[in-house]
Amino acid sequence: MGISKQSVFSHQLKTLENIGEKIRALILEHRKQSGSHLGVVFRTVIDPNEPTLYKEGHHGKGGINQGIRECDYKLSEADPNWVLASAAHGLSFSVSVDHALKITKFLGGFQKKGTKLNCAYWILENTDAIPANMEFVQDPDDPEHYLLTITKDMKITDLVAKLTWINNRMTTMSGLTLEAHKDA
Amino acid sequence: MLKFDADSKNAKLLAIHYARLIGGDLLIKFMSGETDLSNTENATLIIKGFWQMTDLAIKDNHANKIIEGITDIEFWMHKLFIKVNGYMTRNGFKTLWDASINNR
Repeated sequence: MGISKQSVFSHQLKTLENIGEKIRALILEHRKQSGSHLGVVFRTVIDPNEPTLYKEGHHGKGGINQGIRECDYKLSEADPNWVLASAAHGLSFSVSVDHALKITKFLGGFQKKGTKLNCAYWILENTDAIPANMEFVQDPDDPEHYLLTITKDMKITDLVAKLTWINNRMTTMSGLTLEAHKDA
Repeated sequence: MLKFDADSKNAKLLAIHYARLIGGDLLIKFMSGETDLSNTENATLIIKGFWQMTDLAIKDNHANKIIEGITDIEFWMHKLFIKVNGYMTRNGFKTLWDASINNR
């Protein structure tokens, strides 16, 4: 009899935990060296989406506009081509691997069987690493959770350009893929 | 207590909806942001209830159901998850909570 899907998933998680230990040590070292407040941030990526942009049909049940989920940012009701500054809206990021893995596992439960979930990271060399008019805001509910917000109203095309720029600087931890093992 | 504001009202609506389906005064009050957890026994109860709520939400999301006018159940349950994660971590129930995630 083969290994059950549940145990395979558990094994994957154990592997992630072990690698997570090493990553945690690297993060602490990086934060010391860079003097950066956050240093490294992590984000769950559900295949086939990219780290900061979603693909139509793989973005959940809400609206999507040019790869941006309407639930993530505050789109103007008067003109959906504009995104409004809001400290309560933005892409979700974690400041630790542990936290990101919790979210990955939680969201994995909502995915169809076989969907791959990854964790991507972004190394912030300094505060200039964040595009203009964007800011990480700590979630008042959870200190390990941050929203990548916008601080000034902007056209959605400008936000797409900024998120694409970030996307190109994020690295997906290939080989650490989790796979949804049951039908959601 | 769990805190909800205008920007997270959909998370609260789902929290109350699913808590009522699972039942139990403590679960409903906690998910409504009306009570804190005073001991491990209560936290265990709430954690169990949260995962039961999540299982119902997953089924509804997969069936494309609209709950309390909300279409994107996954997104708002993610928001609720963050709130519960933060609460458990801040209030001394992190070990219990993390173990429940690992046992899912």
